[in-house]
Amino acid sequence: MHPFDIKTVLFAKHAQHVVLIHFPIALFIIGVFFDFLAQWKKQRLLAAVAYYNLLVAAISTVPVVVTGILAWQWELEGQKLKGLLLMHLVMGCISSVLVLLVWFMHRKAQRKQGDALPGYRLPIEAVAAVFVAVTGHLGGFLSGVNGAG
Amino acid sequence: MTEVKIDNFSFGPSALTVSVGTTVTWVNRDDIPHTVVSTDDAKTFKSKVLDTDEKFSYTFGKAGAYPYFCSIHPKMTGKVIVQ
Repeated sequence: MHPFDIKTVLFAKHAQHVVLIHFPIALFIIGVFFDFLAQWKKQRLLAAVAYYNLLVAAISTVPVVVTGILAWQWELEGQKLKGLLLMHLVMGCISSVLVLLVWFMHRKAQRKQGDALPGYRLPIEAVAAVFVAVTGHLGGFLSGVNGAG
Repeated sequence: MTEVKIDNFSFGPSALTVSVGTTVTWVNRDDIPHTVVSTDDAKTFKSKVLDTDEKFSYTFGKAGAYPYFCSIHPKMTGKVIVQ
């Protein structure tokens, strides 16, 4: 193993994907929580907290997706996936799109200052949170965190 | 033919001694997919992703020590010693 070899740094013993994934999961769920709270309490400050959590969640999704795909391409040589790994990949892609979509809806409303956030975002956020949680659960199961390993 | 069982995130036995020409078969008895990849740079042997109950076999034609690991779970390691 070489300390400056990109594959070693990203995967061997480090497995950056399983480290980085905790950032978007935590930030997105907290962001959604604060958005629901802002809706309930009608407080702009809470909405701002939600926005910045969702923004960083969307940003941190990018390296997670990249390291996940690189792990598939490099460690497993891009072989056709099936079973739990395929399910994790598909759920991960859907979750990433939903995280970016939720942030985009908030960004769009913020750019048009004074525009209220659309009400339909809340069910989308709830569905996205479920996808994120299930994807994370599958990832934990695969990595052994949620299992015997 | 000698068998190595993959279960509970470990190879069993983790170290195995065989004679030249022996075929070793790894069987995944775990609920989780695993791989069997030799640690050397040349990747002497490398399985595809093994789902539950799938097998991978390799025949050792030369004497030596062959450490290997699971590329999905790098902490899972094993060794085949060929005499």
